[in-house]
Amino acid sequence: MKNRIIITIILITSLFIGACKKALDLNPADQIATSTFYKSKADFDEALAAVYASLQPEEFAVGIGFRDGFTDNGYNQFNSGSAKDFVQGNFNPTTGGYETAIYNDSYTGIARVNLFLQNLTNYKGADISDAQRKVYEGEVRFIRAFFYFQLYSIYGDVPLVLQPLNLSNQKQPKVPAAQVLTQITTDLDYSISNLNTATYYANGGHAAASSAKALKARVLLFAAFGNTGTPDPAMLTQVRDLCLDLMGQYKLSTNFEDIFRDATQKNNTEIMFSINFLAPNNTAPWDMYYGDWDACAPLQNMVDAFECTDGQPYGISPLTDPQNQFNNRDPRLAKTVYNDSVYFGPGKVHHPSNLRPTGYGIIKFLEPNNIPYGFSTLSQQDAVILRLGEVMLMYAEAQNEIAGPDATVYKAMADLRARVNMPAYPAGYTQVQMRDRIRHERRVELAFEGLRHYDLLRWHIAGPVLNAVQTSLINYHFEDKFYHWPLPQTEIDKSGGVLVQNPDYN
Amino acid sequence: MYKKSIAIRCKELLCIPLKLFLIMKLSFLLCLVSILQVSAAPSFAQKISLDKSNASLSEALKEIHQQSGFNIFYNAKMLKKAVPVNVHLQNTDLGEVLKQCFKDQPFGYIINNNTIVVIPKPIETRPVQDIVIVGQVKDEKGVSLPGVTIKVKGTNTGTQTGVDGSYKVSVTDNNAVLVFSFVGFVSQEIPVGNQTKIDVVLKEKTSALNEIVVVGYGTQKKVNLTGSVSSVTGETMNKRPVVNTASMLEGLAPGVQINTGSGEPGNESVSIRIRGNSTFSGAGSDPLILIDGVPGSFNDLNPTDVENVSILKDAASAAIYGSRAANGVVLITTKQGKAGQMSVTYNGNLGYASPTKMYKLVTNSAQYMEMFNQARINSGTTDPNSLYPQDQIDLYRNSADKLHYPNTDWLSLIFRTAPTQNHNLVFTGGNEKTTYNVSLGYVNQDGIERGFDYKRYNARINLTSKINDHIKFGTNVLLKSGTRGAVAGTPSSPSNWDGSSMDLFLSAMSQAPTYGPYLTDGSGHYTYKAYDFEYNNKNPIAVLDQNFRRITNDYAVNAQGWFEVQFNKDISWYTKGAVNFNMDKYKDFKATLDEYNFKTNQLETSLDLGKGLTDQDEQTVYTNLYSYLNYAHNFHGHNIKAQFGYSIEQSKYQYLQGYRKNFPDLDLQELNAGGSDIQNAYGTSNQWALMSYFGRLNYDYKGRYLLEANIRDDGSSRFDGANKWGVFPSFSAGWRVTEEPFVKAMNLTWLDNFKLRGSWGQLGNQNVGNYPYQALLNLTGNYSFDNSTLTTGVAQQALNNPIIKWETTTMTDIGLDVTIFKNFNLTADWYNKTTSDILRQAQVTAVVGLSAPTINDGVMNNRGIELGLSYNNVVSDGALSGLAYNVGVNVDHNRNKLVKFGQTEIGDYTINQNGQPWNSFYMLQVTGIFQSAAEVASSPKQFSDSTLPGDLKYKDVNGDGKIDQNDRTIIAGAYPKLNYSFNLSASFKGFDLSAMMQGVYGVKSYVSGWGTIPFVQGASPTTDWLDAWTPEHPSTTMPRLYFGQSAPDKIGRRSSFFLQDASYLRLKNLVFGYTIPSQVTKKIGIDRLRVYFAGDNMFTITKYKGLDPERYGNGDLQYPQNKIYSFGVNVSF
Repeated sequence: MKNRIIITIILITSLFIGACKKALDLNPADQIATSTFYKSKADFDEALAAVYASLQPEEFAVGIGFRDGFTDNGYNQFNSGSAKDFVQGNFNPTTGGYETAIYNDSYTGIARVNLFLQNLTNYKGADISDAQRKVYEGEVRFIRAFFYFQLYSIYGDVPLVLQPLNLSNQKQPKVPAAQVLTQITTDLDYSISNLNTATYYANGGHAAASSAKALKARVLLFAAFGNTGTPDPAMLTQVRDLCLDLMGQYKLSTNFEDIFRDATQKNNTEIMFSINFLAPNNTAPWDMYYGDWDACAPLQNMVDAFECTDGQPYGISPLTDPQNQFNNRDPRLAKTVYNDSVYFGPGKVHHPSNLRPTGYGIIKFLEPNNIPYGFSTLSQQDAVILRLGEVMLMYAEAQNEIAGPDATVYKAMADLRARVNMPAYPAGYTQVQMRDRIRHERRVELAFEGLRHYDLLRWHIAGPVLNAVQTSLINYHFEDKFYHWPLPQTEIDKSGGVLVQNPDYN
Repeated sequence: MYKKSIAIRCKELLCIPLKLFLIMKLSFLLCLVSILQVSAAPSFAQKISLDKSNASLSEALKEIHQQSGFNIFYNAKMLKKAVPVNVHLQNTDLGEVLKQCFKDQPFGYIINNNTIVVIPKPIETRPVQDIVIVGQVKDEKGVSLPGVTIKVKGTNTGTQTGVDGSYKVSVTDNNAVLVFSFVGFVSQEIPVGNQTKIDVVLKEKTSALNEIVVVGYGTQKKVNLTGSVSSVTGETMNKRPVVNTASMLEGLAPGVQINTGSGEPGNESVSIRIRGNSTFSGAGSDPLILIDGVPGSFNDLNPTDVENVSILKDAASAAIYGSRAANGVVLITTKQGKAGQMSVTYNGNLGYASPTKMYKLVTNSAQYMEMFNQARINSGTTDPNSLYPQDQIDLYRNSADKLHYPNTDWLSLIFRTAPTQNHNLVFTGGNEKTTYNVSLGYVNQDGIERGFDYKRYNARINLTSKINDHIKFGTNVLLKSGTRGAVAGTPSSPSNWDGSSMDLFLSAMSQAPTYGPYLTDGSGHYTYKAYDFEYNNKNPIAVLDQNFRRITNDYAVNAQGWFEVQFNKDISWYTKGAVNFNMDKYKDFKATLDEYNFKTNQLETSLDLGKGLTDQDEQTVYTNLYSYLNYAHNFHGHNIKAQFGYSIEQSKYQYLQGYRKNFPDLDLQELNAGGSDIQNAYGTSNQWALMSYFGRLNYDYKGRYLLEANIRDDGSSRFDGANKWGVFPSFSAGWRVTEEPFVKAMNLTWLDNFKLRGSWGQLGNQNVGNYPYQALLNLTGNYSFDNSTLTTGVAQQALNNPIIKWETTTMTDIGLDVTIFKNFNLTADWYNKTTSDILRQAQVTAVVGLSAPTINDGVMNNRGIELGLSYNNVVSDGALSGLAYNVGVNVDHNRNKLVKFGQTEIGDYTINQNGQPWNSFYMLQVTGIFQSAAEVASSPKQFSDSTLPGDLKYKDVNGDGKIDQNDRTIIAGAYPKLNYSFNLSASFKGFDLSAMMQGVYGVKSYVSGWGTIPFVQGASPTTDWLDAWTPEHPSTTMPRLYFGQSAPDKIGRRSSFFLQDASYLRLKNLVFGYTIPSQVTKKIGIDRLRVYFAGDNMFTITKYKGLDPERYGNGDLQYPQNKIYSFGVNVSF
């Protein structure tokens, strides 16, 4: 009896021990091993989606409005992107916010592009044609150019990474901004030559050659002004020609607000590139941030910048109505800013749950059909990155700088303003007068689209403009060193001396 | 005949184990007296003739001596009391002669060999009718105890138990009390009452010398331990009337820091740290918890089932658990059955909990409104539309209409005194072959914060059975079902800690006192605000009323089966198989909340808190099989023990989550009842496995020199190739100085034990993700090109590190165990613990664009000392005779240091830097408050602030004449300098008292936000702020009032102003009980009945200004700790 029991037990135990030899080799059930991917075109399509998706972080998409909180346009009451620290001058290598987000997320996107290109080069399958290869490459290089422009425009000199990195070569020095610019234009030129020449809105949501042209125009316009605010005519000529080209291909959206609303973004003839979202699983909190939280509140001076319907400045125009500020104003005011609560007509009203610190909020990006706005609102508005309105402004600006206020300049501005029933500029402007009007027009037309910050930098007027802001809840303080942002301190530290901080931040 | 009878007695004595011989010796004399009395007429060979009239006794005795040759001893002084002797006997037996001589004498006599001893005569007992009591005495294991002395209290009568432990004794009446005593056991007194059969179980005295300690895969005599192990009995733990088992260990073992993070029912966030934080990696510093040898969770355990908890603190004792023992090991053993009649025990208590402390907020509306205005104006808001008008303030101050002008104390609306009940029923018993212990437990705890509660049902069945003398087997089965109710949390958060208790708390804090939770129009509508410009969060009462709840159900089944084979005296074999099944499910439901204006009764907002139903199932199935052989052999004082074993473990986790957003009917809270327009599903699974070989070797020579070596070889699925297997050795040695002959020769009677011990060993930590070495692509980055379909995205997100391996902790321990005067014990340890190859995220530059892989890099050191002192005693005479008491002190100090961290990393208010403790505080230092414009002007410029009198004054640490981020500095206090506790227990005449004080010294907590900064989301300031700086009242402690989150940076920067001393000393626990005398309770069939009061967290001494200094870390509000008053009863049938 006793022996029988013991033998049984020994047998059972050893069975267990024998059966478990393989027990230590386990693999995840919801992730793909690198070795089994990049085996077909379908795999590259999925990898391409992830490259586009690297454009979706807040600071490039839903947070474009917050970028105006770094300027004289808005007040980010929750310090989104650390904008409050920036405008108050308490800006240093450890401030964080967009200072680190733009840096980190740009390189994350760049890494996806570089890995995509490396795997594409290694892939020999016949299911990807040569033409398709070029389109793939053109698309991802367009996106890489977008990220390098982000880095170039606010940090200046940055590391230039064109290959996947690993632990052994992770410490990369900065290269001069000019070299970064060359890379951006090289990438964009490749995209322009290889991408579909159809319009963006007819290209199934993929970047088209025209998208690359528009981005190149923006890049060159920024670069043309250098560090002094005086433009380089050769570059401006390129900008003008690119814009002319695009103005022949695209048409303004009939309604200004249609550009930003969900249903009317599809096939909108003005949009040249957008970062897309799709509810319910791929959303961006436009309506909650801007409509319910009032996370970026327009400043009074921004509101005042909208002209009266006669084209005269508010306060000077006889149509000025101090009792009802929104009366007789450039229609873009009511399509950009809401006064106290969101109002799209009867039944389409939303009272934001947070206070309006300046009394205003941004209505531009809100979707009326999503009311009421809140935590579980699933917003799928696309972030419009490039559009004809901006291209026309770039054309006018470049042409005015090169040739003065000629008829084409007037016409571009008249066309843009006509859409919102604003009168054309009076004839007879000097170049300087026209420059001021165009700059003003950019601020109004492109309000909260995240471009004001670039403009203040390239025109080299950030100091005088920002230090003059009196209508915010905080005291503005701009120093010249802020023309280039500091690199994140963590990056300086981790590089062990390879990466050098920008001047005046040590 | 006389001689023969002695011989028989001696033979019997020899049969009894040696240790009993000593006691027998003590009672020798007593025995002989009784023997003599029993043998009525002993006869002797010698014949004596004695003829004396009125002679003195001494004279007669001299004569007897001369004739018989017997020596006669007597006390001459005593003999003076003798009466004259009249004896006339010829050639008579010695016995008869003596009998005649001692007739009427006040003396007796004893004959031993050829000696006669004269002794005082025993007091005669009255001839009354005796009551005969019979019974048996056993020890706790059910083994009969022979040689136990049974005395009738207050008399000299008594007896001893026989070989089978049985006894028979006569007493004179019902009031008699029997005293059972035996060396090494606790004496027991039992009143006779109406009983004629009294069976007694004697408890072994737990002196440090014979204590058995549970160690890895076995037990060890405490005196022979060479490692550092703390042991806590279940009985000690269960004194606290708290629900969480881990909390009960607080303050009971030196070097073991237990922190109950919060009082939230079922979610106490108890952290257990053995000798500090040993790593900064995600592998963590939690110890390995084993229940009856198998990994388990304290949360699944019914504390009543705990027999003992052993905490393995050093490498020597923990190394046998190898790759998971780096943070120490906690071994919990559960109660096994005892042979004998079934005993049924009921323990129950009912407690009332209230917050240990609550914020004192300004709840007077007029005062709030004035401070609000002041704070707004100071923060730059002068717009009259954003300030309370004076006439409204006056209305609140003067109006008798408190319905419309209330002073609402919001905190009192969500906090309450809450009951907790706890019931346990234990059945135990069995026969020689099979024993059982079956327990049932039920806990129902309501939270002191409304909306939170916890219920738990536990069952345990422990069976042990002997097949024959060689084979034993048993099963331990635990069943648990818990239900935790909480306010709904964030739907996307899969973690247990969703912070919803904090969310509700801050929602209540943020409300102004100027309105109540409901409108005054009787509609029952919830209030949003009274004035548009007021700030607040959601109405907490609305959330509670609407039943937006997260109900979490957790089920656990832990089943173990084991057997043990004793092949012969030296070799045994033990095997256990176990399955742990854990399942956690939760449902989280929320809808939108309509809130109305208090003054106008108009709808103001439909709050969307993230509506919908999330339904999640998580389950883990863990299996473990281990088996080991034991060998033990003793020869010539050499004791050798060896053990070799094997273990295989596997664990599989999976989860499934579903979500739907829109529910047409709010009462139907199942996914199918929701609209299918917006829905999500998530799920995944992962698994790990561990295979191990382990061994242990013990050697000692005469208990004097002790040596031990352990080794474990672990293979883990988490690592690859050559790194898959890791070896973790340890060595330890002990020297019991008191066992040395030369020390024994010194005859130091006060020194009972003096042992020096030392150990060295290596431990591992493998707690990284499940597949860290593999290069993986994630399904991430979905993107919609065409705005109608979503293309799946795939991207590499992290660099991989195929050569990842174990984290290694090397620990040295030197310890001392001393026992003096039998009752005074001291244990002291010094340790040095260094963790290297830390499994940390590599510091990867952002330009790589991928997240960091886990690599082996970094070194952290913990060094410390621990001291445990205890004294126990039983007063044996005087008025306090029978008072048993025990006092103890535990103290420990730990110092943490980052030896090699890599690049310094600065966090929000912390820093990680080589040479400093991990996560040291790093911030600006506040030196005071500016008192005048002149002081501002003459001080260094602070950032780009417009500094005013009343603002915080920062210290210019680097002396560059300006204050900026470079003036941040390290401030000590991230870890306590000392952890300490005092405990006391005493019992006397049925009363028992125990108290435990626990303290932490030298620790700080960073607290800002609600409850610290005034008007965060409109929150009422604490009453401290009534003392805020104003030109009229220039405070030196509280700065100018600013308005919460819109306050200028100059006031809100991370600074020492928000760093509070969180040292405390508190009366953690006080128990006072009374056991009703058993002669009373026996009448109603109850063996034992004890009633008690237990209090928890009764008072706290601290400088901490927030709620409770015992908290789970830095940060804002946390669910308060409970102060509990509880009443309970223990009944045994």
